[in-house]
Amino acid sequence: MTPKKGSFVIEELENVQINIGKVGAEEEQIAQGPTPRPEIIGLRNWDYHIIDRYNPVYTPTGDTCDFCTYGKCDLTGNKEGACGIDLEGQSARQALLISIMGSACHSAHGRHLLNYLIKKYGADFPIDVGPSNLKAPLTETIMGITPKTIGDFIPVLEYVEEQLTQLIAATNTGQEGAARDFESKALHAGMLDLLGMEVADIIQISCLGFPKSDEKAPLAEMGMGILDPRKPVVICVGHNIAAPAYILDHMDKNGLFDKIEIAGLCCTAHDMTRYNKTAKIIGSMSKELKYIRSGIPDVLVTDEQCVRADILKEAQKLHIPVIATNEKITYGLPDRSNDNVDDIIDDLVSGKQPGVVLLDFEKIGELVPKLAMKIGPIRKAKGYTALPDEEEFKKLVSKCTKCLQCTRDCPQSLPISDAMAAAVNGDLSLFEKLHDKCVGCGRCDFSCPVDIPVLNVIEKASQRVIREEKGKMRIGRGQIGDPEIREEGRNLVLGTTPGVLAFVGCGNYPDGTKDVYDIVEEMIQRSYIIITSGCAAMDIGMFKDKDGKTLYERYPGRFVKGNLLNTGSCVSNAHIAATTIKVASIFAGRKTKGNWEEIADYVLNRVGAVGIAWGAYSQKAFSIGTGCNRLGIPVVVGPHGTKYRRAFIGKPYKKDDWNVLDGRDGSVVNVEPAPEHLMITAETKDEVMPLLAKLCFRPSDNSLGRAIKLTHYIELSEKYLKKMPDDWHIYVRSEADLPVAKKEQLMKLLEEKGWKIDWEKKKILEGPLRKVDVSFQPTNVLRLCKEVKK
Amino acid sequence: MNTKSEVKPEVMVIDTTRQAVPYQTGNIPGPKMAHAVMPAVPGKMLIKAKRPLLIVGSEIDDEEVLARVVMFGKAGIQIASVGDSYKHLSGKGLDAHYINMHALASYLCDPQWPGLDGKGGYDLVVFFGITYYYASQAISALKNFSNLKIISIDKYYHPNADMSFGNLKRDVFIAALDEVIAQLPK
Repeated sequence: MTPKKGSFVIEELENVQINIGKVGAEEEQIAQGPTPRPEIIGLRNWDYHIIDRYNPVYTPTGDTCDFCTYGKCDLTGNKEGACGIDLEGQSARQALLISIMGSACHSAHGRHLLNYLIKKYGADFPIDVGPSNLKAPLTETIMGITPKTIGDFIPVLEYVEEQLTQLIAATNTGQEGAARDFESKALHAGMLDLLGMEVADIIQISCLGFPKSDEKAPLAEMGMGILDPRKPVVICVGHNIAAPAYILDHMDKNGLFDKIEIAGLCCTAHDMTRYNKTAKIIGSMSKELKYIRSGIPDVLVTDEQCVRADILKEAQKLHIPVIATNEKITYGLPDRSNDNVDDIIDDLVSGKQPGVVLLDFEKIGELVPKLAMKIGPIRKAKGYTALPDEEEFKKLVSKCTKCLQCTRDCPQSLPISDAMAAAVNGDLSLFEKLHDKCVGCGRCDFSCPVDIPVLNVIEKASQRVIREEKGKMRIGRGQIGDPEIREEGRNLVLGTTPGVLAFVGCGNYPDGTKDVYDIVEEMIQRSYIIITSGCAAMDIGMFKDKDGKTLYERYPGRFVKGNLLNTGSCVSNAHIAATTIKVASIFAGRKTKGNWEEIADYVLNRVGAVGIAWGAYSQKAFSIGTGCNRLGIPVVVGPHGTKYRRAFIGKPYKKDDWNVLDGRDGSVVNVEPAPEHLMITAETKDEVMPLLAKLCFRPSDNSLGRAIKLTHYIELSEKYLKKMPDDWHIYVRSEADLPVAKKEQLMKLLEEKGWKIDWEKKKILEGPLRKVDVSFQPTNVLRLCKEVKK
Repeated sequence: MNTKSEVKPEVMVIDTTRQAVPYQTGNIPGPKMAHAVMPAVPGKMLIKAKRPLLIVGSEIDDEEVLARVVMFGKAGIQIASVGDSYKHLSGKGLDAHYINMHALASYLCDPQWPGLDGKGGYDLVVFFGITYYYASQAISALKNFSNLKIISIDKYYHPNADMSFGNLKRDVFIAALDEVIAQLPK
């Protein structure tokens, strides 16, 4: 029985209403662990386990603090400011704030959806995510409840919102001061983020008919070159499906898909295709400014998250009306929610208003296609575009003085002036290369002293490659189903599947989109399970092999080794993290409800899962990563990730940091550093691949699993760094851990390192840190040890 | 009486202190920013240091830059090879060790770190050839949480170092590296 909220009125007592909060509770709603609904210090001991091994490393972007009026305070060299906070504390406070921002973003998204879906479908609408008993793993683990209906998520979001308020309070001057506890709170915010995302995605999967754990979800068309620009074009930008769903429904009902092109930018695109497979995808946030400036969109519909702050300004220049459909982003536009649709359209087509706030979904659904049909032909006749024509292009590139200011302002330091010089001589190839590497931020436009609109020039020069930019992405499948976990869990825990690599996050790649494709291709060929979501999921599908096939066409989407799974939009990241909870629960029988510490401890020691946010740019990406860290999942970010200012880096030379307990008797075992780091960056794709392989090691690996993981670690290091890893031997516990094909060669190397080898029996006699013990129960939590329990 | 003045060979004048403003325009960390120095300064400090460390990264793929890395290594300076730079240093007989830059920044702040070769920590860190913003962020940890001296001899002005060259054109950068190398014991 699910607890229900109810009320009744006693006759003749008209003004008395008795509200009953919750009625009844059955066994499955009783928490099984010690921390249901943990308060902001409820999991502090677990956090300390993490922080003490994976020390926070601070890389400040600024050495001052200006949060209060005492400041600015100079904290250089870890000095204290006027309030007593030092740079370490301030950096940790910033980590907390970034996590709160990201977490609030997803949770508010969830709240918006929940209110809307309850209104439309009712609080008793059942949850349906596919073939799973464990339907809401994060909710169970954090809240200690099993939600059955979408209304059951009301107290979940109330909890998240209350906790976030407490956390924000802790950042005020005169509140928390210790870096260690700021970090514990940041980890709490990250965990709340996972929870908020889970709510958001489960309710939309349940109510809106999204794929439910569908490994064979269809492919969606994707890319800047896929739309027919002769038709009216509607582009939806952001993350929230609520408004675009009404537009898609209206188009469907009125047979408009042949007449109007509709596509999404960023995660809204994911959810549009999950809602209606006819919808198309332009690409990640990096394409936003580029696509708007092409002039192709006739109507821009914004909702929330990852929408450029200058979108109205940019759209206005090209007479593209903006329909703002979410309270969080309103651009100072008039709220026309109560007005007549045709009146609004008249004002937008005439240019009387550059855009409107429209919060009535029915009206949005009706207005947007109508508006596109009306304004599309007008705009196309006028040929609006920000891109220069051929003559203008030649003039612009010849204006370049090679001052390099654009390169110095470019996040990727792209060699723009070289491309300008080549273009003067008619060679556009350098610009074409820049198009993929350019993240489309437009900073270069503001830096040019001779007013060259640099981004427009890059895009004009790249028209040939843009026309060919046509990829495919498997539509977001949602959760990993319980049956798949049953099938694969054992391989993961024993290591015979070398690991789960989750490619997530945004498009701020250090050297272009192609890198993420290359990394995925290398790792999937090595039988890692690749899960992806968000912008990374799109970028992976943008490239093809020699047969013209994308990775989604080459590799199936089941949760088994060598498969490529797309869970969906940003909020579907929750399912990736939750997969590890499912492994702990379904494969290992761990209790989930209110039992975060035990589950996270299991994941840290036994589940070889690693997150990679190679192009992470947003606060959301940081909070997701931090939430994964609290769940025991290591995360690697690209080099820009150093600007998040905090990482969690292990010190393998500190032997005591790698002591764990054996769950059988509580004895202390010194293990290899596995996983070595919890949040770290890498400089290039060649560096990151061996790092990913290394971070998949876990103390629980059996010998076959360890040998497989070691094979990949060594091979990837040799292939991309041209060397044997310096620390490969640390991960060898016995000769059975050695890759079979290289066993003898590796044993010789071990002997050179001073290990004793019995060559006759081909056995290692002395050298390893510890022996293989198939019954070893690694844990960092004393209360989980059997002897201690007794 | 006419006297013939001595004809001296033309020498490229290197001034590495020009353009000493953060290479990426917005990278202004705070009141303490690197002193711009001429090549003689890092050269002398390298000689004086008890245990210097040269850090190089993914931008040493330029043939001429790589040749200078090798010269530093041949002069006996230990090299921390970060990013994917080791693929360029492999088999060159240098005391070069791959390490992740972010991890290295963490370890350099720890007085207990035994160093890349187990022989102890370092007293001077010199670096070049690393992705600009990546290096800048990593050394901000050293600047604020260690007592190490940090010198950038890269072609970019690095405000988070103690000392740095200004923003240099490639030919000046190569010449500056040569001047530093020229001071090292043969």
